[in-house]
Amino acid sequence: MMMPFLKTDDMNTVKSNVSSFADHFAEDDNTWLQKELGRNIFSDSKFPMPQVLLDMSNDVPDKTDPVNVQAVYNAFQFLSDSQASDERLWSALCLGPFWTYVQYRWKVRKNHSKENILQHYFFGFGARRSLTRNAMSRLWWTGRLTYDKTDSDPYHLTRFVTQNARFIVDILERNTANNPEVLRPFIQAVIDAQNRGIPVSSERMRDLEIYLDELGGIYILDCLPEQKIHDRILKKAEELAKKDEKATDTEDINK
Amino acid sequence: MDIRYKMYPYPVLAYFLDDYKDKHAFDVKITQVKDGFNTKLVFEATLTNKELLGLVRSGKSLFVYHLECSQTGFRKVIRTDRFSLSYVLSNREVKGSVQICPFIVATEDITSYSSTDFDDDYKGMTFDIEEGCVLAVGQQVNADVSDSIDDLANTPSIFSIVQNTDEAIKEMKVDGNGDKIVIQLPFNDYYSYKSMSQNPKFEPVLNALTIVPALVFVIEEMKRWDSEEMNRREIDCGWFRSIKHVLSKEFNCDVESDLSGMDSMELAQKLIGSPLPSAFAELSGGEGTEGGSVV
Repeated sequence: MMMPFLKTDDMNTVKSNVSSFADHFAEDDNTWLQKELGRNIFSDSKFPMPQVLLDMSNDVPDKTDPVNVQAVYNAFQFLSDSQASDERLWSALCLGPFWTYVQYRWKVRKNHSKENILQHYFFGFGARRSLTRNAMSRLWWTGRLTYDKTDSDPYHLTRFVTQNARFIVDILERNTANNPEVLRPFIQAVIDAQNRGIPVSSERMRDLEIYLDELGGIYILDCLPEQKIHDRILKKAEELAKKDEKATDTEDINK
Repeated sequence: MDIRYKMYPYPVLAYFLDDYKDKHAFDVKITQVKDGFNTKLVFEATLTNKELLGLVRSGKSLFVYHLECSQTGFRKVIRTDRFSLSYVLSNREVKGSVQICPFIVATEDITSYSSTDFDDDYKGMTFDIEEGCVLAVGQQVNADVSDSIDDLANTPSIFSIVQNTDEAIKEMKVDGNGDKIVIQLPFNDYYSYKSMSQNPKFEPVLNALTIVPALVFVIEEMKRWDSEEMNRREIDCGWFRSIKHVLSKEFNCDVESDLSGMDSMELAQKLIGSPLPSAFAELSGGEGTEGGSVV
């Protein structure tokens, strides 16, 4: 079996008519596509379809991200970045072989609104953001951006990023994530901060990302040694933690 | 990365700043050449500022070309002390538009930097520059690495013609938010379109009915966009890159400065090769008619 993709006109036909088709996305399978459109919209790409089994066992679907990111990236690693940024490919996988997974992960049976469908089955945002929002391309691109071939455990950064669904948005949807020499030290600094007992919530992660952006206004980050980026982020995490402590102490005194 | 017209806490040589007397002392000519399926970028730097030249020659700073393709997440810096350089962008790594920003960047901490060409405001002052900081900024270039469209009139691949499955809707809809301009035809009309499009003689008729109004629609939208929206569309919309290129090359029209003064209806027809005469000729049996009263 070959990996499917959608021809542009077929993909745009489904996208343009999502409001009419919305209820179909709650059905058990995708057979409605052929009935509604009067033809098979899936074409064969030149790649054999890899065998991938995705974890759908957890009642909290986003807890399956760590394992599923590795499964998808391992299986589809042969894709070039250019191929992997093609909406026709990912929408075919979402509408086709991974129909059940997308419903499970994004609770589509409960919420089959036009927005939810466009976001997770297609590219519902700008080109870059859509890579980490489409249900299947998100898994691949999370693996792609965090896979660290310099480490004996290449998925160590992936496991950190996927522990919280917000981290994928906050860390990977910024342009700084596109360069592993900037992303790697950033994530490692946050991991090291956590290992030193500094809590890193989603809000704290956003603070640190904003700080990285500020550094990007002063330096060409891609020209800085990784250690320098790491040390600045770690220092900032420590400063923010001290501030929080002081604020808590002041609150306690005032009580 | 987009070069933003920003200020720095120390003098930077840039065409948009007055920190140096000769603000054009650093420039980089960037050309792109097809290299099979790939794109070769050729960089030719010119630098006439004495002090910055000294820093590059001594290795304390380098020319840095920051490349970024938002569509594929490609981001890379090329660091060199050479004035001429070429680099091949693989089609496996990039798609659509690649932003290229040239800089001169400090490669180590530089203490007491000064230039005889500083603006008078900074005369006699020295500055400590950290490793990684920008010393000079060149003009940004956005390289289009998508498949080129030579002629919008022939099988325009910037359009995607699809069917509206809601049979109650009898009007054509146009959506320019994606990579292609989506023209959604009413349910039955789509079948007529598909049937007629098999015959090349009906192309001008179909273009007049569908492509011309769609182009009028998107041109009117483009006239309303500010620079930020244009930059976003440059990244996200392949059709916009194509139209921008054709307008610049064939109509000498810059979308940011010249488009508002152009007649959208006239421009839309010209972009598609003015199909009306051929369409009417076809519909009237190939001879055309002249004169007669209109009431």
